[in-house]
Amino acid sequence: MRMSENRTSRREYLTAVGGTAVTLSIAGCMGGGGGGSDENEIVAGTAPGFPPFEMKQEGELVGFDIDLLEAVVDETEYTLTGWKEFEFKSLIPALTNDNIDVVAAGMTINDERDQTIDFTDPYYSSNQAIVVRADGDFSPGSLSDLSGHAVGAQKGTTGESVVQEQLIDGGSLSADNYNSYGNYVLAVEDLQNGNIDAVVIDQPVAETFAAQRPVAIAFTYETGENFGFGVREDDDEFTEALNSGLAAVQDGSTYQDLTNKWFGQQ
Amino acid sequence: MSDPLLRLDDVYKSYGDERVLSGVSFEMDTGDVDVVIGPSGSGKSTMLRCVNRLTEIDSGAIYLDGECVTDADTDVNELRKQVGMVFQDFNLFAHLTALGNVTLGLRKVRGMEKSAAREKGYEHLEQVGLLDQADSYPAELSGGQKQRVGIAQALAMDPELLLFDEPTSALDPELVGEVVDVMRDLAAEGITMLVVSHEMGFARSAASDIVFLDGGEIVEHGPPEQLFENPRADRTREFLGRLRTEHEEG
Amino acid sequence: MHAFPLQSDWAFVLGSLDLLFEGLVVTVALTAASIALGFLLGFPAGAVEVYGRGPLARVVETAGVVLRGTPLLVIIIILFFVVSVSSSAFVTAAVALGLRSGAYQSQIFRGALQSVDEGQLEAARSIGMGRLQAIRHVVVPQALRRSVPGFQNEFTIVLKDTSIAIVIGLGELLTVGQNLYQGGQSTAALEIFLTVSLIYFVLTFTTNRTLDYVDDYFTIPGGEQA
Repeated sequence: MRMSENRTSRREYLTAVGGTAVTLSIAGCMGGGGGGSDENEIVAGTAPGFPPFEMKQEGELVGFDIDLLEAVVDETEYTLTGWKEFEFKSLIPALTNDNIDVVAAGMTINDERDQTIDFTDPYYSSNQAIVVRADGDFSPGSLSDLSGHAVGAQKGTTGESVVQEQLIDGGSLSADNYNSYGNYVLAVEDLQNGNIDAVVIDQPVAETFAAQRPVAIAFTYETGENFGFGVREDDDEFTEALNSGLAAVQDGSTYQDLTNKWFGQQ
Repeated sequence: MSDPLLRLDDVYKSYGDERVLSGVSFEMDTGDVDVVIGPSGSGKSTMLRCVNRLTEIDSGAIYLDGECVTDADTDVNELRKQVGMVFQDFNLFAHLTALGNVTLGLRKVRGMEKSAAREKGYEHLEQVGLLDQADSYPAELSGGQKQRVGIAQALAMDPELLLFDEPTSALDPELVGEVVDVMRDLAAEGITMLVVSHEMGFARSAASDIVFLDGGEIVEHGPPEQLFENPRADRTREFLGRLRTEHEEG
Repeated sequence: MHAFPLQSDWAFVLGSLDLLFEGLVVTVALTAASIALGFLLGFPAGAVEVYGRGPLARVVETAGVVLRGTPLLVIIIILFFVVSVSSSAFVTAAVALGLRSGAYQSQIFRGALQSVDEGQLEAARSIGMGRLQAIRHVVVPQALRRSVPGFQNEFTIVLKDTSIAIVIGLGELLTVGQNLYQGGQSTAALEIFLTVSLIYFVLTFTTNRTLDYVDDYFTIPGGEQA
C-alpha cells in the first residue's frame, strides 16, 4: 500500500490548512513566510484547476503534483507543513517573496522563468494533445492539418505557445483562427458546441476529457518540454535535497504507482 | 453716558476690486429698532454680516457693549451667542423638527439639559405663534412658518441684538404679513433689532431709526417721520421717489 | 485518471453546497471588512476634502486620486508581494479592498457633504456653534442620509471585486466555484456559474434592500429641501 494511515490523516490536515482560508487567515495563523519557525519546515504552493496534476475534489487538494512532491519531501530532512493555493501567475511572486518555498504546479521549465527562479530536475515530460470532436469528421494527423480550422488553447499555456510558434508564426494558421480561453474547460465546451474544431492542451488533461466527454485525441505533439518544481535561486541546499528525493522516488516504485494512479487511461 | 450697544467705526470691506463698504460708522442703543434701506448692491447685507462676523471687515472696528469684537482674540462663537441672525433664505436645519431647530443651540451651545431646552423651545415657538407646529419638519412648513421658526431659533439664544437680513424678501406676498406681525411684536417687547428690509410699512411704524445706505456709505439716517417726509440728501430723495413709483405702479 | 462517478451536473452542485458555503463565508467576511475599512477611511477623507485647508487636504486628495486610478490587481499585488502588509492573505486583501473602497467612498461623502446647502452651516455658526460642532450636528446627519444610494452601489462593487483575492492565495466563493468544475466535474461548469451568480445576486439584493429600509427609517419627513 502506497499510503499509510498516518499519511492520509496528515494529508487531510494539510488540505484543511490549505483549504479553510477563513478561520486561519482571520486568526492570522497562516505561517508567516516560508521559513517558519523551524529551519526545515517548508510550505508548498500550487494553482489548482489543472487536472490531473492539481485540483480540488470535494474541497480537498489532490493530484499528481501533490502526491509526488509529498513523496519527494518525505525522502528528505525537510517537513512539508502545508499547501497554499494561488492563481498560476502569482506562484513565482509568492515564491520569491517567501510566502511559499516550493512550487508544484505543472510548471514548465523555461529560460524566461529560469531568470527569476531555479528548478529541480524535471519530473515529468509534457506533451500536447490535439483534441477534436469524437463524432466529427475532422481528424488531423499533424499540426499542418490544422490549417484553415478554428483552433483553441488556454491563455498562457504551452498549448498556446505551440499554436503561436508552430502555426501562426509559421504562416500556416491565421491569427483570427486562433481562440484563446481563460480556461481549458471553456475551450473544450466551445469545441463540443462546434465553434472551434480543435483544442491544444496537455496530454494528461486531454485524456481526462476524452474519458468524460464526446471528444477524442487526434494526435500528440511532442514538445520536449518538462515540468520541474520551482525553488528560489539562493536555496541550493534545499534544491539538492529535492533532487535526491526525486531520484529516490523515481528509482523506487512510487513514481510508477503515481503515474498509474493519475494518468491511468490509455 | 453709557456705551451704545452696537458701534461700527469707519468700517471698510472690499471683495477683490469692488469696494462694498466705505467708511461706515454707525451706532445703536439697547431697545432700538433700526431699519437699513437702500438700493440693491449698496452693501446692506454685508454690513449686517460684518456685525456677527460671518463676513470679516478689512479695516475699522466694531464694538458690542463697548468691547471690540473685530480683533484677533475675540471669541467669535461667544459673539454669536450675543448677536442672533434671521436669514432671507430661512436656513433651517432640514433634518430636525421646528422644536429641534429651536433647541439645538440651547442644548449644544448653551449646554442646557434636554427637558429644560424643550420647555424654552416651546415658549419661543409660542412667541412666534407656532406651538402647534413644534413637531413638523421644515419641508412641511410654508415659507412664512419657516421664517417664524428661524426667528424663534434666534430668539431662543437670548441675544442682546437680533439681526434680520431681508427676512421677507423670499416670501410670497400673502405670507409676508405673518412674519412682519411677529417682528412688530418683538419690537414692541423691546428686543433690539437691526433690520435690512424693503418692508416700508414696518419701517414706518416700528423703526426708531432709518438708515439709508448707498454705494457702501451711510448717506443719511433719522427717525422715520423725518427721513420719509423730509430727506436731506438728494440721493435719498431719488431712492424714495423710485420706491414710491414702484409702489404705485405695483 | 482515477475513476470518479459522474453524477448529474445539478446533483454535483447540490453535493458541493457545503464547499460553496465556505467560500461564501470568506466572500461575505472580506466584503464586510473592506466596506467597514473603506468607511472609516473614506468618511474622514471626504470631510477633509470638503472642509480641510492646506497641506492635509492636498495629501488626502492626491492619495485618493492615486488609489482610484490604480487597478485593484496592482494594489493587492503590491501590498502582498512588494510591501508585505501582513502574512495573512485575508488581512492583506481586506486592506487592499478597504483602501480602494475608501478612496471611492470619500467621493460619495464629499458629494453628499457639499450637497447640504451652506446656508444651514451659516445658520448653525450664527447661533454660536463652532465649525466642527456645526458640521457634526447639522451637515453630517443630512449628508449620511444622502450617501445611502452611493453606498449601496459601492457595496455591490466591493462584493464583486473580492474575487481578486485569489491572486494572493485567498479562496473565496468564485474561486471555490472554479475549483469545483476544474477539479471534478467539468461538465457542471455552467451549473456552477449559475449557482454562484445566484448567490451573488441574493447577497446584493439583500444588502440593497436592507439599506433601502435603513434609508426609509431615517428619511426626513417632507423631503430633503427645506
